[in-house]
Formats: sequence, structure tokens, C-alpha cells
Amino acid sequence: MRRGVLILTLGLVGAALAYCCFYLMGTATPRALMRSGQPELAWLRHEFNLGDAEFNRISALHQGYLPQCKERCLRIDELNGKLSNALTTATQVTPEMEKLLNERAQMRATCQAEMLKHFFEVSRTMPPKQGKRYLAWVRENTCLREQAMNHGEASHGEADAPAHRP
Amino acid sequence: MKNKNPNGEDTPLDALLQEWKPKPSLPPRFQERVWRRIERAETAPAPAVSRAQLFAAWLSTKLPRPALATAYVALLLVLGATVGWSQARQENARVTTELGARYAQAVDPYQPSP
Repeated sequence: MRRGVLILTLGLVGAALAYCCFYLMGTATPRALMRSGQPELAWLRHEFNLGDAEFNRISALHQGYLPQCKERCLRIDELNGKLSNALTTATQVTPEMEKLLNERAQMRATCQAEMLKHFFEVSRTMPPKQGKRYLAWVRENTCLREQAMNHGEASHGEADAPAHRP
Repeated sequence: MKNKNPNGEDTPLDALLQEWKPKPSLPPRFQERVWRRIERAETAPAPAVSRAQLFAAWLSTKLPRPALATAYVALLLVLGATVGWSQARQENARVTTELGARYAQAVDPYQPSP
């Protein structure tokens, strides 16, 4: 009986150890990514197999792009606020509202164009094959992939409509 | 006075007892009832053994056999490794998706909030 219990315990302990070893080995990479200072850039490096030089250059591009992007976002927020104020009292479209709408659309277009420029710059910094993969990835996962126009006709163009972004 | 032998025993009574042959009368259908009881005893279910008792018996008699013990330990090792690896892959996929979304959010302010 005692020998049986010993074998039973040995099996269970062995299973637990095997589980822990394989789980820790298998999750070593994602744990390292999460521990890094900038996990999203660490992910980019890992996902697109970047070397040190490429990664440093892309990190610099990323750090340079973000403040400009935030500045444009603040400007769009400001225009949104102005437009919202104008709409609360308006009963028809005024020249001021038209101006604000145009300005906001222009700012959004600038924002998207700058974003696209950044993506191209980043892709050029990568090895050609990875650069292509990166562009394909941003095409699928950023606002570059616009939603299909929809006037509430559920079945219209359903088959051709792009998938929702995550 | 009663007749007694030198040993003090009653001789007519002895004779009478020696002649006496008991004729036992069996109850009606005695044999048939006996066979029925035997049949019933043979077909009755064995006394119930609990699962714990069965497990204890297996543990003390079967598991210590080298072949079974080796197979059992090996099976549990493989099982633990498989489950661990499978869960690690799921975790990898989850973290990869999450970090990809975080990168997209960092560079694209039009991304919906998580």
C-alpha cells in the first residue's frame, strides 16, 4: 500500500513539474516582452525580427512621431469642441460651422497622411521582407482600413465588406 | 425396586433405548425447499465493495507492478507537459495580440479604446 501511494504521489508531482516547466519555457518570450520598458516596441522587434540597429532607429522614429501625433489630436479635440458649441444653438448650417467641418476634415486628413508617412518610414527601416509584412499588418490593423459605407442596408455589399478592426 | 446392573444402570431402559430408532418426519416439500435456498444463495449478489476499497486494493496490489508504475508515471509526465505547452501557446497568442493592439493604439489615435 505504501509503495502504491508513493508511486501515485510521484506521478502527480511529476505531472505538476512537467506542467510548470513547459509552461514557463513556452511563455518565456511573452514574459520578456511584457517586462521590457516599452512592451509594444518590444513586440514590434520580436514580431518583425529586427536587429539592434533597426530597432534603435525605429524606436527613435516612434518617439519622434508620438508628440506630433498628440499635438494633432489636441487640435482635432479643440475643433470638435468648437463644432459642438456651434451645434447647440444652430438651427441651420452656418458658414462658421462649414469652416469648422472643413478644418476638422483637413486636420484628420493631415493626421492620417502623417501616420501613413510614419508607417512607410518604419517599413523602410526594416529588412525589405519584414517591411512588406509590416505594411500589410498596419493596413489590416489601423484606420487605413476604413469601414464600408453603410446606410443601414444590412445585406448590401456584405460579402465584400472588410472585417471589423480589432 | 428397579433392576439395576452392577454399574447402577437400568437394564430394561438400556434395551429399550437400543431398540429405539427415531423416524424423523420431514416437513412437506423439504428437499425442494432446500434446493431453492441453495439456488437463491448462489444467485444472490456478492456483498458490495466500495470504490475506495477497490482503489485501495488497486493501489496496494496492481500499481506497484513495475510495468504499470512506469507507464503511469510516464503518462502523467506527458499529460502535464502537454497541458503546460498548450496553455503556454494560448498565453503567447493572447500576449501577442494584446501587444499588437497596443502598438496600433500608440500610433493610430483612431483605434477604438479597449
